[in-house]
Amino acid sequence: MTKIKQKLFFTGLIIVINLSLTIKASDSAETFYGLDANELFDKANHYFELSDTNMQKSRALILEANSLRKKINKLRAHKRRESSPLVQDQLAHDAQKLALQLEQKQLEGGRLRAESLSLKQRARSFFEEAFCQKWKPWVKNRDPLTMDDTIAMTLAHNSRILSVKPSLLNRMATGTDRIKDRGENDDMSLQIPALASQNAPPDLDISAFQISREQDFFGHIEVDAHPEAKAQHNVSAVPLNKIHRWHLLLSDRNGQPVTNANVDIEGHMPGHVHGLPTEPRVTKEVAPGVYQVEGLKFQMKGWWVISFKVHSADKESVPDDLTFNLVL
Amino acid sequence: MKICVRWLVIALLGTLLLSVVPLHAQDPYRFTEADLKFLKQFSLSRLPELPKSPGNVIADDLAAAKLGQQLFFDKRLSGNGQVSCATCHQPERYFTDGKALSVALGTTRRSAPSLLGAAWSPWLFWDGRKDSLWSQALGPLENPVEHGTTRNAVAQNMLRSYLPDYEAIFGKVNNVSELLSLPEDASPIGSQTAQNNWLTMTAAQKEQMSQIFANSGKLLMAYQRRLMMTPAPFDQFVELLNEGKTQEAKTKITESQVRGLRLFVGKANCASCHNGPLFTNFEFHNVGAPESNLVKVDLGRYEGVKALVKDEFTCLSKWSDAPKESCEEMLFLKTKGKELIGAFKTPTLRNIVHTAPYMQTGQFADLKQVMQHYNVPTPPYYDRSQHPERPHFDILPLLLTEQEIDDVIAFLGSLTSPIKDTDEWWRDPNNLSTKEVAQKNNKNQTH
Repeated sequence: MTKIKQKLFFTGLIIVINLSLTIKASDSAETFYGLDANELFDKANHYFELSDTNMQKSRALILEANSLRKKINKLRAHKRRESSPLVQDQLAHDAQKLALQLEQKQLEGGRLRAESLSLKQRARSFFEEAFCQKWKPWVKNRDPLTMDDTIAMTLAHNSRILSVKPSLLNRMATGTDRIKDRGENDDMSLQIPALASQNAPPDLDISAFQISREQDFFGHIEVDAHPEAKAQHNVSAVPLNKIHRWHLLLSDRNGQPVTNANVDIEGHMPGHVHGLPTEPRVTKEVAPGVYQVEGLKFQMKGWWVISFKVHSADKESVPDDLTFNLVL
Repeated sequence: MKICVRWLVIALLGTLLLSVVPLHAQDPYRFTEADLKFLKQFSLSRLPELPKSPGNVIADDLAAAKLGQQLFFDKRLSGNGQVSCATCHQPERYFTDGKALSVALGTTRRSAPSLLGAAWSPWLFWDGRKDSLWSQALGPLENPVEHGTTRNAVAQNMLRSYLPDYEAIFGKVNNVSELLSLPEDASPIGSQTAQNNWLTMTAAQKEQMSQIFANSGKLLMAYQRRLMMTPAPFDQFVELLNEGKTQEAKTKITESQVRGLRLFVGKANCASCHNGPLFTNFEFHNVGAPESNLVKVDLGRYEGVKALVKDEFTCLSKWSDAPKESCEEMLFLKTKGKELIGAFKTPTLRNIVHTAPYMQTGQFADLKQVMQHYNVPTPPYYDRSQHPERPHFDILPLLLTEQEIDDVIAFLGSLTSPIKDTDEWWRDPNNLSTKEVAQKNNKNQTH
């Protein structure tokens, strides 16, 4: 009897999972279907604006909530100083009333924030689709960048401190505290140290499509492999310890190429002190909005952050940052 | 039924025990397939082909290597006629000199590194102030405390002693007698006299002498690319394990050395920089080795980068055979970042037990001192008035036990390749073989 129940339960569970998967898949497919690049950009901007509105509302509510909290604290402080029990009761009652309002505002603010983030995610998927349609000849690879996985050498130096004053010396942890953290080496008897602070958070956004900090630009990166390298490797693969090129594609929010921009490049490994081992530069704009980035080199596997500071040519605005996380 | 349960319990306990005690604790020689795949990356058999040398088109020419070998051992390439490259890079000492600071015409600022494996390094010298072996070879020649010779003297020695061989490689030299009549003590760098004499020369003469000088470096590079190592016990061990010959493998390295190997790639964290078949990542790190000169601190890579930008003989220079766009390391050279301050190139650990003393100025006399430093390191010396910023520090304490330190040192002993005393490249072509030199040295010591 119990077995039958179990069976039923699992079948039910599988059906539910399958259903939700199909819904999710058909959801995005349906919405992109039949739309041209401009319509996709319009939709993306629409979701973006909704996301912004929600975020603004959410922020306003959080601010209101903060000022309510101050009022409540004041009332409670007043109550503690107050000698008359009658007034004390009244103050407690007022504080209670405000606390309810505060809770409501916090809840609503949180809900709007979550909604805003999910709308932004939606906007981004529309941007990506629109971008890929509009820049078809240039977008050869939509996947996040990886490193050639035939490389087994995962070693890197483990520095995670900027500098050490002599007085701190004996208070430092050892470099190999985390030696046993590495689950991936279960088939090895060698105990290779984990890379300190090198485990990228599991929900890290490693997309090769990003919106700039000020939300003025949309950008995409991919490896511009040499013809000979292309035959050997996956096009998204970054070579280890070899100088190579990327393409950085830049558009504005409506999919118009951002031309004649000045782009500075910065990069580092979170948890390490060092930056990039080279000084990469944009060497030319090979087509409107398509920038060739040369001199990139990654001397180790792991989590890298590459940031492009974009100074647009036509505006006197502040430079905008476009940041990509890579887990190589 | 009861017996059955008892057996089950015993079997369960057995498997539990086996899974709790790691394989290598039962037998340090026991490696998994994944271990071997990992270790193979350190084997000499995995050494890639010599890197391409676009800046030097004769880098792999045999005649050039042979002429380079002559130059390498030629003491006429010095201010006092007593110093050759082999003075500080002695084949019988794995191309080092066994000194903390090298002594030639004067005393050098840093310790002479081994030349074995140098051909694979993108940067040369402890601070990487040269971007190729041919450019590197030119530095010591004009350095007053090393060879202490001049550009003209080097070129004239070539014309006088090696002209037919030189012309066979580089083509006809015009105006040989005119070039031989120029003042010997002439160079764009060096003493005031040398610089003054250099100024008296015509542009064409300067060009020709500098060309012969640059070509001398290219010949020395061609020679150094022939210096190869044969497998060390560690390499033999890894290869035998990969072939499944466990018993034979065990004869190559001791139990202490295997424990040391496990520590080397594990808890001792050595392999984080000393990796690959040459046991180096060829990068620059500050490990906080004691500062030797508190009056003029060594800024390491920070100075090296500054020197590179100004260097006369880089890949980007007119003396290089490379198209400029192929000089990627120079075109995208990292010139900024506090990680450059006081950072030195990771040296190879091959033959390390025979190349004492250690670190950039030989601060540590033996490997025990080196390990003690890594075990409880001192942070980099910092002098506000001399350092552009507080140097960054690349290492953390290891806290190894005495036994563990000894095991790591024992393991390093397994990285020694035999001295190639029968190899024609490991000897002065006009003189005794390295074996004969070693025998002579031994005799002198015992007498």
